[in-house]
Amino acid sequence: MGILKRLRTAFLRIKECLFNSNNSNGMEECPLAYIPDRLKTFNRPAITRFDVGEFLYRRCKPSEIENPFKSITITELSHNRSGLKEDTLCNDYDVLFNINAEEAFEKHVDKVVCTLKIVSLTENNKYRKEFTQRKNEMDYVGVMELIHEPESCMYPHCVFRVWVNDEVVTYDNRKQTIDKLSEIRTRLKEELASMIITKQVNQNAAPSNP
Amino acid sequence: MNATFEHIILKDELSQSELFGEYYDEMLDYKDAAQAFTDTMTEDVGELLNNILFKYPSLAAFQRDMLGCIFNEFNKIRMTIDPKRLKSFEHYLNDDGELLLYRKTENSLINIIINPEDCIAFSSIPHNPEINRQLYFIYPNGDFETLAYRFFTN
Repeated sequence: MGILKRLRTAFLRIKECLFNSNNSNGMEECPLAYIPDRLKTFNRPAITRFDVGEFLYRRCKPSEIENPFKSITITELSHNRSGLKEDTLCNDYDVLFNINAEEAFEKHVDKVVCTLKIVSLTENNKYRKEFTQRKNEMDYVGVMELIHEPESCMYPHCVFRVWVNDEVVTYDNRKQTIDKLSEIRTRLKEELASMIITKQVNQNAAPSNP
Repeated sequence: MNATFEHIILKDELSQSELFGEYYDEMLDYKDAAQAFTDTMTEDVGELLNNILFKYPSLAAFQRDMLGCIFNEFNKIRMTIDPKRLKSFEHYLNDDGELLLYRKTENSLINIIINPEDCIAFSSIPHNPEINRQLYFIYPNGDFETLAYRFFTN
């Protein structure tokens, strides 16, 4: 199976090079034949708003559900969105498809699907939260926002993206940004952990300080 | 009988504390005693602290100090209140270097998150989204007594 997949991927890449198959978004066509067409992006643009009642699907380790603080990361947390009421984009199990062409398997069989329901959003139908911290006489603002960011092989793909003072937190810069800010990092993790435990994305909910 | 009498007096006195009365009340209620520590290894708070320090040699000095403060309060509960109030909990060092002390109860997940620097955090997240969750931070010289009581409440 692994060899066949690699051959198929190599063939599609050669085809892309020969026929320059980029679509109008500048995004490469999905090279993975096992991904159903309904999940591929083709020319579809991102949908900038979310709906209350919409679901987010995420593949996660069973241990993450037990205690999310054990393994959750706050950089580019990927989910699939179920789509707006009038246009369903995917089923929960679609999130188990492997969309990394470099890996020789089609499904993440060691993961489970974690489903979150959006129960409230901002006035402009987004999820966006800010967390502040003062350290060494400097003010820091951490922002987490849910963004629809289609991948060529997974149109419903979206991420919880984090910024610190307007700089996007990535795996490469996290040591210089979020890792130095214990309060913001913990608040972000607590927000994500509460989503997993309550199975909800709630713009209006916040923890109390007893 | 004498021990029971002393317990009643102790509970009565502690319950009058303005700051911690409600926590003492919950802790001294015997109905949850079956969930207290039963493992003989962890009967000794000091031994449990040593086990954690031995298991995670990469802990920062700040984390070791904070662990000491927390376990000092656990030990006070064991010595002066009732060792059965120390309910079992688990610990884990995650990839971000945060040491977690956590309890999963029927209704919620309770974590003490000991960061590598700056502060530690207490988090309680109920499974029922209608119930408010709790999060607050403690810095060195903070109130570890209340933290310990909250960790073993529920």
